Amino acid sequence: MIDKILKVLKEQQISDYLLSDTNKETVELFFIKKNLDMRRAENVHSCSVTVYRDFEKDGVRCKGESGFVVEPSSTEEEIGAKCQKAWLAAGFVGNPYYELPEGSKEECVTVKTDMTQMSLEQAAGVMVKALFAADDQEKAFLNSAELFVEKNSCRIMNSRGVDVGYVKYNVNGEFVAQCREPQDVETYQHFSYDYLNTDGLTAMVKETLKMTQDRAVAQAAPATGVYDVILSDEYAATIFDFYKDRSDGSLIYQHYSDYKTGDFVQGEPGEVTGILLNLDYMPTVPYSDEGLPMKQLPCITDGVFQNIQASARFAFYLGVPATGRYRKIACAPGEDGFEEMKKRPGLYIVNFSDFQMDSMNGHFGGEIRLAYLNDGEKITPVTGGSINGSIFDAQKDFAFSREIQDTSKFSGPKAVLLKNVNVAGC
Amino acid sequence: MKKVESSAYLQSVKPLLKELLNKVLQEYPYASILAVDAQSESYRVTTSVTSMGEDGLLSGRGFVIKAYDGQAYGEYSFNDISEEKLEDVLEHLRAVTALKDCEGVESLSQYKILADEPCVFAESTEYETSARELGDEEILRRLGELKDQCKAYDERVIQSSVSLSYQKYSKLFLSPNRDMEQNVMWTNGSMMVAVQKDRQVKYSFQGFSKLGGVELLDSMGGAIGRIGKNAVDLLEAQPMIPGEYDCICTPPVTGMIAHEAFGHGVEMDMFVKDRALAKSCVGEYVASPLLTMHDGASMESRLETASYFFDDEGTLSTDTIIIRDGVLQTGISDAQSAMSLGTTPTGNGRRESYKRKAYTRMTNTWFEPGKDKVEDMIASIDYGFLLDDASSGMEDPKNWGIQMMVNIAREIKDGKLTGKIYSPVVLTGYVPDLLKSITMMSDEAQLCGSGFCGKGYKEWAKVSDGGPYIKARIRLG
Repeated sequence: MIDKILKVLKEQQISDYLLSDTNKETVELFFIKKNLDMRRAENVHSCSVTVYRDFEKDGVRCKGESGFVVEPSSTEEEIGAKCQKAWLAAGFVGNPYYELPEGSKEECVTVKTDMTQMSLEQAAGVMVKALFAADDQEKAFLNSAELFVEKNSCRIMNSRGVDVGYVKYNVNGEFVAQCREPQDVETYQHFSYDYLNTDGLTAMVKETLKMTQDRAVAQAAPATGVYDVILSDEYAATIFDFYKDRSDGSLIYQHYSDYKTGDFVQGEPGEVTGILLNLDYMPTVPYSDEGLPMKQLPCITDGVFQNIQASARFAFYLGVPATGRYRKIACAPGEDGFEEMKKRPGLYIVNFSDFQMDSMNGHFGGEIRLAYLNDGEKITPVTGGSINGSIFDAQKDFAFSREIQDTSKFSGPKAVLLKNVNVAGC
Repeated sequence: MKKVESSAYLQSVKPLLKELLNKVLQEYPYASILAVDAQSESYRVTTSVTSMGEDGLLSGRGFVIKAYDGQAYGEYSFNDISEEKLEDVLEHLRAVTALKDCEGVESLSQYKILADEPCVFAESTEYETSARELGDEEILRRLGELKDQCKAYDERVIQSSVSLSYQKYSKLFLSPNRDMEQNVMWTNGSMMVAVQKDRQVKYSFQGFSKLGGVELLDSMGGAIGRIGKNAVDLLEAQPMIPGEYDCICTPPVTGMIAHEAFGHGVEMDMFVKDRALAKSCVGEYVASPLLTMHDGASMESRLETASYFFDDEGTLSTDTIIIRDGVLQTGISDAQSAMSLGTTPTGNGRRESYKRKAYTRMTNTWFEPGKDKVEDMIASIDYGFLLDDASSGMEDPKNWGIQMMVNIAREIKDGKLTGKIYSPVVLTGYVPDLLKSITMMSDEAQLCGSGFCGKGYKEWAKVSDGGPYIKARIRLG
C-alpha cells in the first residue's frame, strides 16, 4: 500500500508528505458473569496520508496541510483523486510556515513486553484467568467484563527522510462488580496495561469487589460542607491531566494555557504549603505521530515549568525543540503513607460516576458513588452528593502518598490529598 | 433536495461478499455481513490555526462478518477482501469461534439463531448541498468569517473556534434472507468563544447538527451573540451554593437529562446483564404525567443525525415511546439482547464502526413538548436557576443516580432573571425524583445531534437529544 501511495505522490509532484501506516490485530472477549457471551477479532490495515504545501498569502510565508486515509481496497485512481483534492485543499489552509522534522531510516522497534512470546489468543487466556481469579466471594461478584488484547504495528515516513516503525502490544478492558445485598449496587472499572499485568488485574478486581460490598451498605450522602478529600488510583491520576494539557504547545500557542518555561506554575511561589510538583513526560511509544524519537523529559521541577511538549509545528511557532506529544506523565510521590492519610479526618472518595478535570478553567468535580467519611472517630461508607473544586486553589497544599501506581497513562502517587474542597451532600 | 448516492465500491464488492456469505453458511447455521463505506471531512478555523482533512475515525471501508456456531455468536472485522483472500477470512473466522476453548473460559452463553425475515431494501436520506459542491475553499472562507465575528464580540476574547464536519456513509447488510442498503449523510458544526481572566480561561460552546449537508452553515451565524455573552458572563460567575432549587432547564440540558440520566438506563443489553433498575419499573410511574419520551432513528420520527433506515444488525429502525404520560413503557434493544429477553428488537443495535461490537445504543432521544411559555415558566419561580450550556454527563443505569455538569446557572429571583451567574454546576440526585418533579414544559422541543455518545468510556456513536424547556426541582452543587 505504501508503494502505491508513494507512486501517486511522485506522479503528482507532491514533495512534502507524512505517511502513518498502521495494522491493528485484536482478540476480544465479552463476558456476562463467567459466560463467554461474544468472541471477536479484528485485522485492519490503513494508512493516513498528510500532504503539505508551501505558499505565500498577503506576503506571508504559509504552510498548509490536508489529510486523507488509504485502505487496502483503495485503487491508484482513488488515491490519486484523494491526493489531488488534499493538495488543492492544503492551499486554502493558510497557517504560518514551519519546518517538517528530518530523520533517517531506523530499524523497527518492538516495545518490550512479555506479550511478544505468545499469540494474542494465549495472552487473552492468561488475562481471563487473572480477571476471574479473585471472583470467588460470596456477596460481590463480577457481573460482566470485556477484554481486548491488541497488537499495533506502525510505520511512520515523511518526505524529509524519517522512516521509523514500532510494534506495540496492549491489553485493556473493563469490568463491572455487583453486590445485591442489602442494596443492589455495582462498580465500573477499566484497565489498560502494556504487559501481562496479571497481579495488577487480580488486585483491582479484589479491591473493586470489596468496594462494591461497602457501597451496598452505604446509606447517606455526606453532609454539605468543606472537606479534606483523598483521591486515589485513576482519579488521582486525572488531576495531573491538568498539567499535561497546560504544558502542550498547541494550547500555549492558542493562548488556552499561559505556561512559560521557567515560570512557577503551582500558584504563587510563597503560597505553597504542600508538596512541590515534580513531573516528567513519559514515552509510551518509541516515536511520536510524526516520527520524532520520544524519551523521558522533565515537565515541572519543584513547581517550575521546564519543557513545552509539542509537535514539530507548534514547537517551530514557539521556538522550542519538537518533542512530540506525550500521553503519559510521571509524578514524584510524597512522603505520607496511604494508610496514615486515610486515618485523618476527611473524605476518601473511591468511586465517582464520572470524575472530570477541566484543563481550561481548572475546575474538577463529580458525583460520589462511594466514599469513606472519617469524622475523627469512626469511618462510615457514604454515597451520593458531589465535589466541586478548583485546581488553582487545591495545588497550593497538595499532599501525595509515598505508595505509587503505574498505568499506561500515569506513574506516580497512588493517592492525592486535596484540602478544603466543597462537597454538596445532604 | 437530493438523495445521498450509493457507494460504487460496495456495489462492486457485493458479489464477492455474497460468495463469502455462502461459503460461511456452508460451515455455520447462520451468518451475516455488514459492509461499510464511510467518507468524512472535518474543517476547523480558529484565531490561531486552520485545519482540514478526512477524519480517520469517521472514514473507512470495511466489513464485519457475524457467525452463529449453534451455541453463540462470533465476529471478525477486516478491511481487505478479494477472491484470493476469502479463504483467509474464513480461517480468521474459524479462529474467532474457536476462542470458546480459550484458557480461563469456563462456559459459553447459549443463544438461538437470529430471526431473518426476508427484506430487500435500498434507501437514501436527503441533503441540499454537499461539501464537495460547496468546495473546501468556500467552506473555510465561511468558517473564517464566523470565527472573526466571534473574535470581534468582545475585546476579552482570546480565542474563537468554528468547525464543520460531515459523514456520508453507505451500509450493506447481507444475510441468508436479507439484502439491505442505506446511504446517509449528516453534518455537524460548532462554535466556541474563550475569554480569559487572570490564569483562568472561561469558554462557551454551541453545537449545530443536521441530517443533511453543509447547508447547516446557514444556521450558525445567529448564535454568536448568545455564545459570546455566555463566555463573557462567565468571567463574573460565582461558585454555586449547594442545595436543592427550582430550575428551568434549556433544551440542551433537558436533552442531557433524557439521554444521560434516563436513556442509558433503558438500553436493554443492560437488562440482560441485570445492570438496569428500569427493568423492574416497566408499567410504573417514573416521571411526571406531563412527560412522554421517545428514542428512535425512524425517518417517520424526528430527523436528526442519528436517523437511519436499519441498524447494524439489519433491523429496521423504529420510534420507541419509552415513557408515556409518566409511565415507563419499554426499553430499546439490539437483536441479541431482544432474543435473550424474549422481546422484539427496536432497531438500536449499533456499532462505533465495522471494527467494533454492536451494543444497544440510543439514537435520537427526546421529550415531547408541553403547553407552557418559557417566560411563564421563569415567572413562576420565586428563587431558582435557569440551567444552560450542558457540558458533560454520565450514566448510572443500575441506580439511576444523576451525574451531570452544566456551565451556567442564571439566578432567578421573584420570577425574573437577576443577571447573576453561577458556574460550574454539578447536578446530582435520583433520576425518577427529578422527572417526577417536572411541573411545566415549554411548547416547543429542540434537538441537537452534534455529539457522540460513549458506552462507558468507549464505543462512540452519533446521537442526538433534546426536548422542551422543563421546570423541575434539582439538587445543585
